[in-house]
Amino acid sequence: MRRNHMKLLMHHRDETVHEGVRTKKYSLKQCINCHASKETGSVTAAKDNFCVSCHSYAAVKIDCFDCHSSKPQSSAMMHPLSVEGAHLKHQMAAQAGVQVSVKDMAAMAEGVK
Amino acid sequence: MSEINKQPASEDRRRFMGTAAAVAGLAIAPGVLLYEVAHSKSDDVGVSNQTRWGMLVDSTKCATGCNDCVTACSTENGWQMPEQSKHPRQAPQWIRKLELEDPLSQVKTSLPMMCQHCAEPPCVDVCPTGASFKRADGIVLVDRHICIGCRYCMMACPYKARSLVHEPLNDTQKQDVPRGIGCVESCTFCVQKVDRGDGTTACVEACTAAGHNALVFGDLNDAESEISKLLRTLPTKEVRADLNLNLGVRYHGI
Amino acid sequence: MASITFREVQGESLKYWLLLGGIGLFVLLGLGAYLYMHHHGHVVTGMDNQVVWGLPHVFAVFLIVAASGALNVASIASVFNKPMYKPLAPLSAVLALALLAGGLLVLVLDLGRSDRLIVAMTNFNFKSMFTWNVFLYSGFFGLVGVYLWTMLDSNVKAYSKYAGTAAFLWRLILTTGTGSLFGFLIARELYGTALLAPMFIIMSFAYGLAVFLMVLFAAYAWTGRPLGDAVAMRLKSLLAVFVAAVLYFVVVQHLTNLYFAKMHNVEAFILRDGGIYTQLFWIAQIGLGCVLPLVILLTALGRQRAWIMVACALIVLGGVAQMYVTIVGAQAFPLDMFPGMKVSSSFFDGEVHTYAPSLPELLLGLGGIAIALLITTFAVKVLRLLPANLDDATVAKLEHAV
Repeated sequence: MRRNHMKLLMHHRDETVHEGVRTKKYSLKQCINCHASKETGSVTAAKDNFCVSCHSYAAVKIDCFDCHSSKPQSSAMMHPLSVEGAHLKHQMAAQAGVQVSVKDMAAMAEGVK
Repeated sequence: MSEINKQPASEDRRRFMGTAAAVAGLAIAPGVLLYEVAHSKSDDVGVSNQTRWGMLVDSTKCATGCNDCVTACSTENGWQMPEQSKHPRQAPQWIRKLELEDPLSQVKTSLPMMCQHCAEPPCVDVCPTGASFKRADGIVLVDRHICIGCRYCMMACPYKARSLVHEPLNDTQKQDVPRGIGCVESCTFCVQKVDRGDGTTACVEACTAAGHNALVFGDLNDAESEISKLLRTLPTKEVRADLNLNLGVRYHGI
Repeated sequence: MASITFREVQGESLKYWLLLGGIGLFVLLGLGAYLYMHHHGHVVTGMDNQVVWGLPHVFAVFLIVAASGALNVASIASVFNKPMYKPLAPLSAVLALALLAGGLLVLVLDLGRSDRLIVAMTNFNFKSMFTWNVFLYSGFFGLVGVYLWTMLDSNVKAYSKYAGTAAFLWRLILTTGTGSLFGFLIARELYGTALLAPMFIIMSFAYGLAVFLMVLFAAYAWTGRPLGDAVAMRLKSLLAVFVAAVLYFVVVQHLTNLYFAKMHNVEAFILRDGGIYTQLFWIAQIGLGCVLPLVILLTALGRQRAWIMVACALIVLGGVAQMYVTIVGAQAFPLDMFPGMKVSSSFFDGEVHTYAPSLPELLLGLGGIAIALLITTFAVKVLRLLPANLDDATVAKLEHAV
């Protein structure tokens, strides 16, 4: 993923912008919704946030967030009881060492609007 | 003498017709179902030119001083209202209200002006990188990934629809509307709303909610849509119609 | 054929380093201006959503137009076989390359996203005149580079006529393309006309030769090499013809526009009511840029080097003014979306748009000129571009030898 994430991102962005395909797989917003840090509420604010953690080490400037918001859709997302915060259940499960199957993850993701 | 056959048509024939009808029905049914499916947009298939999005502005219902559409657009898309900007001449405006006055009669007209989503957009012709493009469903957009900020499209637009983002936006963008410094932008027909099925734009929603009903948005290719029906009843014009650009926005009352 | 000795500029004089230093200072200022503009965004410039192309574009387009015109002297030598011009051809080619480099640099550095230059080099929309210009400019560098090589390297001298012809044709297409950048825009009343392409061609003849003459005179005066009147007078007369042609095009353009009622408003703006644009048009573009140089060049004054230099400087000044009126003036006049109606809005519709160039824009533009001069000054020193002797005797031998 590290080597090829730009290829993926660039293909997805062209599909979204030019064809209007906005499914979860293609949406940068959806990546951010899950991967935004709980503390900073962003993927770029602090050095260990999702995107910056690798990019600061590799010293590669990220162009995306000049235009894209680095914050997730809404703070309610983070609430464990929120249906939209299903990712948090996944995270918590991961931390608890509980096995979450791929099917479970997909089902949770598809259930989130 | 022929015996009048008092018996109804033979059971065999009835059975045959029944079976034939059933088989025929079964043969057509999938086609009917598929036809329905083909018409509704499947999520991971892109937009098509079966749809052509357009807007009708009834300027007779527009009041001077009413800014509801502008306020709604700025709220939905995350740009600052010009009154609030420190650099009003450089502030982007996706939509603005024009106040017209006929010098002979002093009759005043008010109407919103935004990207007209031309079918033959001059901005698309002149963009060196192809960032300015027309989507299959007629929405003219800027692909800000490849926009280099040369502003040639701004020179080319006959409606002054485009704006350059002159200052850094400091992560104030809406999540659904990425926009950035150095890139050119304009009205997108609220493509983020259209693509998730809202079927309308922020300006139209606000104008309708406030009861003015001056704006209608819809599919120009659908003969039964509200906008198509209105276009068949009201006389409408394109702004700068002599340029022959086949606009997606039509005006009544100019 | 009589031989002309080309020699690099020798010596390590203080004046040379001061010259380089002075030019270099403006290059640095231009770089600083670019970094400032790129960091803060275009909000620090005078350009806005009404006047989107401003002073940097005025300088850039002027330099690009002058670049293709500077090649003229070389073209007359190689394509039209005029022996007197042949010694001047190498300098002409280098000056053309240098001016184009300076102009393009200003254009590219003014982009809203100048960091995306690679995107501009890899994504092309072939319906855009801007894209064709990208290819025309790159091709110009290549062709003139080859042409210069055929002139400097005796092994390939035989190809110089072919390279020169190719470069000449290319440069005509290039300037047509530059004029068409504006000619292809239907939106604004002063654009969208086929007249702009040939007008830019004729402007390139005038500006290019004016710049070339200034560089030639300065180079020979400052290196103490003799430059005879035969060369100077011939070029001066040619320049007068070009300037007269520019004046003709401007007159035809405005007279034609004045015939149409629908153009009355915009013509009144340029010719009478436009404030700075009217002043620049009449005083700088017409008066200083065309009429006064013609008076100088066609009278006894034109026999003096100093006065020719003055005329050239005025032509350059008038040219920049003409670019300003053409590029900025056309944008200052509002778009006519509802002909005959009075329009107003929060987006400055229906009113003349004000534009005040800012310091970063000026420094960026001057930086482009400085780059062009830097390249030229450096090139004459390290390459054998300048004939050692261009006095009348040498030139006469050249003409009779053929």
